[in-house]
Parts: sequence; C-alpha cells; structure tokens
Amino acid sequence: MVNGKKHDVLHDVNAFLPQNSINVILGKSGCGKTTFLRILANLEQCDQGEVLINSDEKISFVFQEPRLMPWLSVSRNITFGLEKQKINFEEIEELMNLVGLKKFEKAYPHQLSGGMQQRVALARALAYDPSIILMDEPFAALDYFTREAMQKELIRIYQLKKKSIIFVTHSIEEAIAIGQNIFVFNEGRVHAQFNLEQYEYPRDVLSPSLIEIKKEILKKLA
Amino acid sequence: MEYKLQMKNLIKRLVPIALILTVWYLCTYFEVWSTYVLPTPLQVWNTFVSMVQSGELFVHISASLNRVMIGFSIAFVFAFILGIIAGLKPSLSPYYNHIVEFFRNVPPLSLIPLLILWVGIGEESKIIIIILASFFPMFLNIKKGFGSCDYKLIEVGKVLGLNSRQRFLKIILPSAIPDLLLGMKVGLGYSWRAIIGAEMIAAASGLGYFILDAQNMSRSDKVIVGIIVIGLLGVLCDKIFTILTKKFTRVGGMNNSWD
Repeated sequence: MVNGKKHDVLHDVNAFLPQNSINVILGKSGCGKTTFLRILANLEQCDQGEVLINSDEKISFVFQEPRLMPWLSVSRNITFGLEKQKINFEEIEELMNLVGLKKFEKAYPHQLSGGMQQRVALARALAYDPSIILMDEPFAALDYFTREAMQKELIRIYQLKKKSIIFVTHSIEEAIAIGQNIFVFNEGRVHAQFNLEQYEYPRDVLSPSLIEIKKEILKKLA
Repeated sequence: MEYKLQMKNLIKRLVPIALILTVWYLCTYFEVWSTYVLPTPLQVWNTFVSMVQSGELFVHISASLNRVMIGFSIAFVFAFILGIIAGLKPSLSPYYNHIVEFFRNVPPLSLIPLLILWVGIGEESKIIIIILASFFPMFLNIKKGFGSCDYKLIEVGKVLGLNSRQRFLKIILPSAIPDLLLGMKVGLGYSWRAIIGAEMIAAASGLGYFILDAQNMSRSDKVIVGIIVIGLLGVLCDKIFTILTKKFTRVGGMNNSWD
C-alpha cells in the first residue's frame, strides 16, 4: 500500500527453484525481487498464489545491511539465533575460519568494516544451519573489490556446504559470476530464465560466451 | 601520557574552586556582608568537621537517602512496567498521553498541601512526592527505549525463528538498556531535588529539614554546609550512575549509547 493506493508488486511469478544450487533473481530496482524474497521468508504475506516449500526446510535470510546486534561480540552475533544448550563451539569456530573472522571473535560490530560485518551476517545465517539461504542484495553496499572477494567466498562456502541459495541482485555481472540458474524479473513477473550450470567456478565474466549471455539478459531487462 | 592528561584536567577543575574560595574569603575579610550573614570559609569548614564528628550530618543524610531510595524504587517498578506497555503498544497512547503531559507539568511540591491533608506529615507524603517527581522522566525514557527498537533487528529475530518472547528478551530489552539507564539517572536527580524541597516543608529529619532548621536558628554556616553536602551527594549519585551506564554499555565498546 502506497499513498492509500494498492499496488500489485508481483503477478504471474511462476518459478521452480532447484535445490542445492545458487539461484539468482535478477532485476531492476522496484521490480519486486525483494518482495518475492520476503514472501519466501514469511516476512510478508502474499494475497494470492502459493509458495511451496517443504515444511521441514530451515530457511535463513541475509539482508542487504548486516543487521548485527551492536551490543554483542562477533562470536555471540554468529550464535545469536541458536539456543545456548545447542551451540556446537567447534562448528562455530570452523564457521569463523570459513568467513575469515577467527581473529575478530571478540570484536564488536562497530569495530569492523562493512565487508567484515556482512561476513558476520553470513556466518550467522550459516550457523542457523539452514537448508535454504535467502540473500537480498547482500553485497550491494560493498566496494568493487570487497564485493568480488565476498562472491568468491560465497561460492567457496556453497561448494563446501551445498546449500540451496536464492540470491537477489540487480548486478548482471554478479548474477553471471555466481548464478547457476538466473531468473530475470521484469515488472513483477519472471521474464526469462538462464541455466549456467555448465560453467565451472571461478568464472571469467569476460569470456565470449558469458558476454553473450550478458547481452541476452540486457535485452530481456530492457 | 594518560596520567599527565588527568593531572592537567584536575588542575583545570581546581582553578575555579580556588577562585570561588578566594572571592568568598575576600568578601568576609573586607566584611562586604557581616560574618553573621556570610561566614568565613574556615568557619564553615569547622562546622562541617564538628557535625561529622558528632554524627549529626549522617543522621540527616541517611534520612534523606532512605526516602529517596524507597520512593525511587517504587517509581522505577511502575515506570518500568508501564514504560514497556506504552513502548510496545503505541496504539494505547491516546488514552494516557494528555494525562502524562498534564502531570509532567505539575511540580510535585505543589501537591504537598493536599498530601499533608490526605496522608499526614509522616514518611508517606515525602515518598509520594519522590514517586511523582521521578516517575515521569523514567517512564518517558523507558517508553522511548522500548518503542524505538530498530524494526530491522526484530526482523532478524523473526528469520532466525525466535518467538515473540525470545525476541523481547534477546533484541528489544537489550536495545532499550541505554535509554532505561538514562531515565533512571534523570529520575534520581529529580527525586533528589524534590526530597530537599519536601523536607523543607514538612519533616523532622533530613537535609532539607536541617537547612530550614539552621535558618531558624540563624546559623548560616550550617545552611552552607547543608547546601554543599546536597550538591556533593547529587554529584556522587550521578557519578555512580555514569559508571554503571558505562559498565553495562561498555560491552558494546560505546560510551553512552549503542549506536
């Protein structure tokens, strides 16, 4: 609801998101990709249609901003969603190594850079041990180099843990660098779908075949 | 380096005090006012020492402190419970907002005549004054603390599967602590001011009574001792709270606030 008027954000979204792969939802801002993700996470309700997810799936969410608890240290932010009795400290330590924050476990969010904070947020989502991770433009606020490093890290984590990842972005390069399936959203519907499973990581986004795909995506977005 | 800086700051603090004492001494030396109206610094010091030795001063201090602690604790319990409700349920504000605004602007001391009629001149009337004086600043700050929790952090709790009780204990409560402590600090200051006034009107002990009694006995040196003790105790209370605030919010490495 905006200004008392109802706006349909999404209509005719029909997509099958395969398990254990990185699914990228790509679109211009305002095309409904964040809304779609929030509906999947049950943060918003859709008034028509349905989302079919196995009821035993654990879902966690990485937001655009880190959203860390400022009064908790890095390690306690990572274990934030867990019950105290159920914390496996070896696993948490492994996680901190995985995202490269072992040295900073006692630091507080304001002492970290934006990229490090986002890595804590990623570790928090992983510590929850979800089968599906929803990511809403998690690297959008980062500079080019940090962003590239984070993309590599995400791919590494994906290869190690084999989770289902649904990743929202407006950057075509990012979608091509990490996505196995790319869903192009336009005006609230899935406009096109690309399968990039045959391309091995790390990908060279400047290779001729991927540039060809980029051109096609651009056409679909226009 | 740290030590040097501290010494420098200490000297900066002592300079104006020395200046005031000097002016005070000169005024009495040249008898600008008679020593009957303005006693010398030394006279005041001697009175202070003799009152400490006789224990008279501590009787009054403990009487005042006792009232403040009882009234303040009761006010805190009410302010905490009502502050949580008001902070978490802003839709209820039309019911109480105007009443809070009204009573916030009525000085508690103006209620003394009625309170004396209703509950007498015993401890109750003084404790009620303190409750009225400290409730509103605490209530308003606690309400703000619970009401202004970042919704984005609450959403984090939701996606991590916390139920509403867990979200309250793990997100909303800790994020309200800086405001809660600030409210307590302001409330304590208010109740301290109110008790002195209340004791000057109706009491047989306490620092307020002590000052009024000294005035009746024409002992201006005792009046000055009383004023200095009140000021020092207020500063001390404030310092204790500042230290507590730092200790509780230090976990975030911040001075006074989370953000």
